Amino acid sequence: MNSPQQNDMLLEVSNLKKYFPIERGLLRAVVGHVRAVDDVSLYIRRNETLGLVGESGSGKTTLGRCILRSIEPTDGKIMFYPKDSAPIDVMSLDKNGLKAMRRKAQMIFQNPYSSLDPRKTVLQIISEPLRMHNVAKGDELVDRVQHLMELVGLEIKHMNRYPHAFSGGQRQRIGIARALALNPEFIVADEPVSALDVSIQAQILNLLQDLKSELNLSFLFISHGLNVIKHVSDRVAVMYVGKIMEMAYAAELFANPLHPYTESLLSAIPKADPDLRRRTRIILQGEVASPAKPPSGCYFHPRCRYAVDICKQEAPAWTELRPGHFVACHRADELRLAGVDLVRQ
Amino acid sequence: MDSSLILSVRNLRTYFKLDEGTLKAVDGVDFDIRKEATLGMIGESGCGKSVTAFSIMRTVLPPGRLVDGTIHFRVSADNVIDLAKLDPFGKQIRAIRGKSIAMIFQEPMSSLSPVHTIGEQIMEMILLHRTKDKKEAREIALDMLDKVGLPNPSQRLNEYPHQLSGGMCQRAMIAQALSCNPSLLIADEPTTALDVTVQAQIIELIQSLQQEFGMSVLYITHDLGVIAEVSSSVAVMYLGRIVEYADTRTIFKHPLHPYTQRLMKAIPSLHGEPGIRLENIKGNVPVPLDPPDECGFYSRCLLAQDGLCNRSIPPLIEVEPGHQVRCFLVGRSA
Repeated sequence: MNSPQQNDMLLEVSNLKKYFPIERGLLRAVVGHVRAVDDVSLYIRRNETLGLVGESGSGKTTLGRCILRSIEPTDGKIMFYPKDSAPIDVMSLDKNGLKAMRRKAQMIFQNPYSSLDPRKTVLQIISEPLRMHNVAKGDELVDRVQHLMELVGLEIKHMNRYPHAFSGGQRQRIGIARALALNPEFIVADEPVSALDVSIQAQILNLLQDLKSELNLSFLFISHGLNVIKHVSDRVAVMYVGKIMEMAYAAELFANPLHPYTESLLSAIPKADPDLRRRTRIILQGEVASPAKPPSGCYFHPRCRYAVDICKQEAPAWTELRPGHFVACHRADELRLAGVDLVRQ
Repeated sequence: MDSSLILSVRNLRTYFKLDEGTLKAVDGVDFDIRKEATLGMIGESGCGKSVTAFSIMRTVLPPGRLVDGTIHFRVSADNVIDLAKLDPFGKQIRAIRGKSIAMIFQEPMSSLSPVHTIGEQIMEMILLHRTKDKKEAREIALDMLDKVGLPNPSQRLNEYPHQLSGGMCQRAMIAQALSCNPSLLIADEPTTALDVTVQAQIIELIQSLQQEFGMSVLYITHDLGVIAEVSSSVAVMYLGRIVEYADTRTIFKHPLHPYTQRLMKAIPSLHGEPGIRLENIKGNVPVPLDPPDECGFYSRCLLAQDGLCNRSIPPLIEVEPGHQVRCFLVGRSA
């Protein structure tokens, strides 16, 4: 992969794989594997948001968790380059090394109702990482928590309340404060706004955007909402059945997609403009392929309207077709695919 | 009721009597649905969209109660019934429910019975309303599954919901809902739990079946994009009341209510410049528990005027033909 300069690089993932064994029978014989993450390579630069988009079951969450090793990857290489320390080979870390690494890399979860312990107060929840890592205690701990609560727009007087007393949007703010407690450089945000209403979603997206520039954060932002991804991402990766199909700068990917799967995703977005509804929409036939029994060749070929013989036989290579625009498709350089008209009429 | 209408709801009020007080989930809702047209109903969670749907079906469960209003429904060309006056457990509503008015729900996986096959569930409806002959019912069920594009219908008929994907379950539920040729379909967030490509399939399906069967649709969703695609007119709900009502184009191009305007700006656009801030709506959706007599949006509205908006509930006023707005400030300037 033609990587950019190392000094602005934050995270480099190469050939990451996670195969879950399928076990059958009394002796739990392994009869196959679910290829949840299948040979994924990507990179994230400093202060950059990489949007990861894909349908449910495509392996987005597993990929996000594998990068932080909260799910143990089967194979691959993850290099993490924190600002003020030596590069970290995440795959080779032991338990203590992993704990230290997680001060720099944190996670925000999808469901603000199930990702907060209902029996802990906000103070206890937000201070937990600080206590775990012996960063602060006593009055200093309370000060740090108050600062974090202000940072994410929570009222300090609510510090001793329990999660049930908060609305969905406020709970998500608590989760964000917890993730920020240790001053991380990198955050995996796994569908952070999917469970929220439109008006609240906008509040949280604005908050994440402010925090990104204030604290110099980088994000892997996982979402199935293409408009959300377009809004927050510098670059976007599209995932299908455990593989990344295409990765490019957001505007480039939406305007000039190179992969037929991206094209069909873009055409399926309902546009909030009644004048645009008479356009031709690509309706994908059939179902998403099973990662336990992926098709031969390119995983997308059974649903692809441009598929030719080679697509059935050979898996396409991951190539950088234009500068910064990666795609895995045999016909990427000959097809002229339709994107989204980014200029508003 | 106008002969072009299939449903006419006036002053619908459904309240939930709780220990803490009265929750006014639906508080004075008026709307009409024309024959073969689609009314989109949009709003955030807790605004009363689903309770409106359940009120029409008369399936509101205690402590909820339909306390006031009329729901005129055209059962046949010259037979109009007020559903609000029927006994919710009576014969009359049971003959309409599922037959003339059918409903599809948000979560296809949890709305189908896990212990009955797809076939049994579709045939139950057909046997209840259309025929007593099991063989014929099976034929109709097969035909419906074929119509909704479920691959391999004769095999699916004998399968259980857990053997189907989310999109296939939603197709099966649509087949069930349409098996008795309803004249009104209530679709309560039918694609919210589905992926965007499957959503596109299901929307396309509902639209083509609507044309084929000539039915009217009440399409409930919180997704502005979906509303723009499916509906001919739109009702925007907030806190149990309709705050704006117009044809789809007007709602999207010239929204007048401050809530609708803010909502439009709160969705991330594909056309937006990278890095721009979204215009969010401050605060949270209030809970309509013994709500004061004021505009429901008063606490979050940037234009709210003390002494006007918090004095009484603004009426729904027709500011231009076919465009109704519930706001003191809009009524004034117009």
